[in-house]
Amino acid sequence: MRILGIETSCDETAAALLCVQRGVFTVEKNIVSSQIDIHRMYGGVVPEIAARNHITTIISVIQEAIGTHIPDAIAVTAGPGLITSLLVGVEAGRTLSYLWKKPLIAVNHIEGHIYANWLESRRIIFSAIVLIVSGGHTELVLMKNHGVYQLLGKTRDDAAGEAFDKAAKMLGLEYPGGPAIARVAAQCTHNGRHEGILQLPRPMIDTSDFEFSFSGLKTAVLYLFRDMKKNPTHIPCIAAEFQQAVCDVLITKTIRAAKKYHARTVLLGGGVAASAHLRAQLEYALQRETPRSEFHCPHSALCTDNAAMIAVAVYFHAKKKQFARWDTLDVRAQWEVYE
Amino acid sequence: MCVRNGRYMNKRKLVVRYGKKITTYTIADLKGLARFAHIFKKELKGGTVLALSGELGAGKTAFVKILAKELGIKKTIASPTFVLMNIYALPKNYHGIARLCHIDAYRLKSEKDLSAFGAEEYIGDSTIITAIEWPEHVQGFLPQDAIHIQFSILQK
Repeated sequence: MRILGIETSCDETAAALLCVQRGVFTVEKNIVSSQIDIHRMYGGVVPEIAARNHITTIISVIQEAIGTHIPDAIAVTAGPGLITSLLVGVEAGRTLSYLWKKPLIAVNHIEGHIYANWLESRRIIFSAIVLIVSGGHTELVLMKNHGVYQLLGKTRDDAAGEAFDKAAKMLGLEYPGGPAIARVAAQCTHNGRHEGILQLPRPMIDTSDFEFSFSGLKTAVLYLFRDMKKNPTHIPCIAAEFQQAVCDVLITKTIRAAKKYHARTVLLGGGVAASAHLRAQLEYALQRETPRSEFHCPHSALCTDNAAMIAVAVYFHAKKKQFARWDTLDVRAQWEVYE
Repeated sequence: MCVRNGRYMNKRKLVVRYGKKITTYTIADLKGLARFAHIFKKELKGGTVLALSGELGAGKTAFVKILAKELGIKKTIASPTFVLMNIYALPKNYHGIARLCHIDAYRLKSEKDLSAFGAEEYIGDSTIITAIEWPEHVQGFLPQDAIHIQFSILQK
């Protein structure tokens, strides 16, 4: 069977065609019309522009994805995200479902990020600890089976990706902040050892819960850069230390969760998972600390928002016959995956 | 100075402007901010719009978190920078306020963007208080009787 995935929850207008044969996934098309160039001018996502661009690009993106095929099912992101952006994808999905008389399935965006892992690794053993890190989310999830999620903890204020964006802006770097900070941090010659010279806090690293907080870290960057008289020669080292501080907290908490719940698998997902620094360090730390749990992480192109991950998530919903109705499906801008 | 999560916190200056009345407060730490919020909440009524200005890290979201706690909201107040708007229900009406609407205009370009996500249905509603961060970005939309709070970090 072929599944059409549609994703318009934030920056990207995306559509993908996924072929499933005997449980094997083949991504036939994965189209992402990146709007990042438009957003870069404003230092962030501008909703009106995002919504407008989705409207103008969605039809050509879907056409490009399906080619001459008519899919057997349609998967669409119904939330969480920007309401105006979500509406474009959901309306497209509803219309196509009615026209083609094909089943429609609503997918939670976070669930999509989790299932991006299944595109490459078919044998994932439960239970799994999933770390979702993106511009709007930083969450640790315990997944005991397909579709069974338990929230262990999430950020109390800023998401990790948001902290990267804002720290980058404070340091005068461009949007998106994650890659910009990584690029500048590579110029730091201290090999990530800043003890005593410049050190940023690791917020909540010692608490026994699985909550995160990155707002104070952002403010600490502001103080540090100001105290250094905003001298641009210090930017690489501040960027490196900031990146390390975020990774340290994420990794420590993920390992603690994997140990506590005896996880067989640790999964990574979300836009920040595209960070090579985070992936490498997490993998290394897991090998050392919890050698019996396997680590999976999607290819970095599948970490950022895309529609192939939405289509995979749908396959597991379709197996359970969890369909939505084209005439009643609504957007859920604050939908939590655990509801 | 106060130590939180092993870091030092600089003092904050809060300038509250309500019509022509201007009051200035100096806040030493988060406890001080909580004391301020406790007194300040008496000024609130349904339909109040709070315009919270200040640079990144000045304490705007921190203030909304504390204010929400004062109003009895148990849910975590996360930064709305990404989702743009969050709505929280008060467990018990306070001065006719049933909900708190938390908007971050950081990523918005003009007040037109507010209607792109339906914010005007909430701002100024007589049962809702609205806290808008980065109000400069949506200047034209702010009501005349909005309460402005300017947050700034005092140098050591």
